Amino acid sequence: MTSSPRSARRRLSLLLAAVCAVTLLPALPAAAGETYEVHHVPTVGAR
Amino acid sequence: MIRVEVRRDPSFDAAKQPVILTYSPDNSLSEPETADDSVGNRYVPRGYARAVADVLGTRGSTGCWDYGGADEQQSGVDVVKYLAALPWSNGKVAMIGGSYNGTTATMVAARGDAVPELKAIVPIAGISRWYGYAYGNGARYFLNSQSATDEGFDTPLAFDVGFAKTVAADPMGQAFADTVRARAAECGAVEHTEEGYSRNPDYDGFWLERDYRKDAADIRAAVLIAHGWQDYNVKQEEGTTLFEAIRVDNPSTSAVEGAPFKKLYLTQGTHSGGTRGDRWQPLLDRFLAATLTGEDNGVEREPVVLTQGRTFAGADPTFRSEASYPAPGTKEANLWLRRTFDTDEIPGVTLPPPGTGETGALSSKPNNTTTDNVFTYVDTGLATEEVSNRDPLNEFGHGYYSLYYKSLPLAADTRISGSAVLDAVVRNSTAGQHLTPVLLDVAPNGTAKTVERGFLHLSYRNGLARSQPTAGEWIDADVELLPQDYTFKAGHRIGLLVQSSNTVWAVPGAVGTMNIANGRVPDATRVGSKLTLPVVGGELRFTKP
Repeated sequence: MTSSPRSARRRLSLLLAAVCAVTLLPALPAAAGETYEVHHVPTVGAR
Repeated sequence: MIRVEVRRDPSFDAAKQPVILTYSPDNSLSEPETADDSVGNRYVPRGYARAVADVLGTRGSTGCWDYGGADEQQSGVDVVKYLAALPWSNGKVAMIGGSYNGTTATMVAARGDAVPELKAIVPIAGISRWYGYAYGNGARYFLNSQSATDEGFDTPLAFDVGFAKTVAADPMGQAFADTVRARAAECGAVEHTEEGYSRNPDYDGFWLERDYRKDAADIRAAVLIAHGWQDYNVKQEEGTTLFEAIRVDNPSTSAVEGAPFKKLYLTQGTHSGGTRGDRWQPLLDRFLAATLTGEDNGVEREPVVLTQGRTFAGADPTFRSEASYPAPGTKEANLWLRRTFDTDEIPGVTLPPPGTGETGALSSKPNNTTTDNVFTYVDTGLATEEVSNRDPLNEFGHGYYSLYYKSLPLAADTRISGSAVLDAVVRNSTAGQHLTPVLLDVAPNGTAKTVERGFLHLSYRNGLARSQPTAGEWIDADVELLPQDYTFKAGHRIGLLVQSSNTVWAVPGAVGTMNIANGRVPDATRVGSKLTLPVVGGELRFTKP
């Protein structure tokens, strides 16, 4: 089966969009409204 | 100090939030934000807070790694209580995780009334007794000869010199200094090594302290255990035996006798496959909603066990829903080890060639005579179950490093649920030899696949508390094989390999000859050796010869 230049361009665009999305994913901020905190809990056997 | 990372959506604070906690020693692999994980992604938008804490002595926590000991247990309790007391918390905490992270969930739950804030645990492929991760009845687990994986040999080494020696990624003032200082200490590594890699591992105080299963009756959290039947890293019995040991509360009495309810989810997965199948996620969602938010979704009234069985062809396509484990109607069925040798010894030949008439049978009746009552193999420390299984001499002649037995063809599909037991009468030439039976499914064309395998260091035949070396005398040696959910198809035979070292799977035992009683032998209290199978329905039916 052959594909037209137009459909090939569309597939290339989709591919680039997917690559960019994956690349950007780790840099996305936490979901709106979420918080992220670090706590330190006292316990025996550790100062 | 235990370092805890908490991720939540404060828009749920007004209604108060429960916490889903993972207490992990290997968070150095999850840098930088450990709570930014798949659990958090699913449950934070649903109004649960996600917390991930570094186990005592690892990553950002101070102190020394404790191999699951008393300090580690208390630290887990302290973290749960801390999270439950935070101003936005609804006071209810669940612990979830796989492997070590599931082990810590069981570890804290076993503290019972000391931690009422812990409302639910989800141990996935978790250890319930640290001895059982290192040893199979005294035989040291090692690797896997079917696929190149570690079956527990990394512990305690990978923690004493690995995860317990990493430096926290972020400087934290005094806590950071204490973290670095603790990492430089010996931290019990010598004792961990002595106990964890022993040739004679008595079940001493070290292991008792790290046995959460013995305290299972104290568990007051709802329990959802998940495990893979083919998990030979954390053996599947760590999950099934814990499940059996947990008591469930009787709601008609005022006293609290146990956990609110318990559930068991068993797949045909390996160590990383304990939650596979499309029924897991909905089950987990409803379990957490019921136990942490009080949602009345009926999860506790549904069948207690979901299990995926297996046949010679592979994993069953669907799961069974059952009321108990082992499956309802499971009863013991006995087969005696019988063996005949029909041809006279060949002069000058110690071991006869194939086709000279030795056959091993699993029979419904014992051999009450003194004929054909003793057979022998030699353990060189090199036998594996694969070698024994492929040994062409096993079928017709002496198995040089194992003995092979098989039943008549089964007349109907026959399911086993749980552990087979070999009650053997043996005489080993060297103290410290092993006995490692392998249960087989033998197809009509003679090919065989492993169903279950078991391990026993003969010095622990009378119990794990104390090594009792013996050699040159007939002894009773009972081996409980690791459990499975397996169906032999009609026309297949039940097979059994009796061998000593199952090298690769376990560090080999002492080498020597082994006599197996297949009938009456002097001074033995039993008539020969017997295989007991946990048969669903209790009946074994064979075709006529």
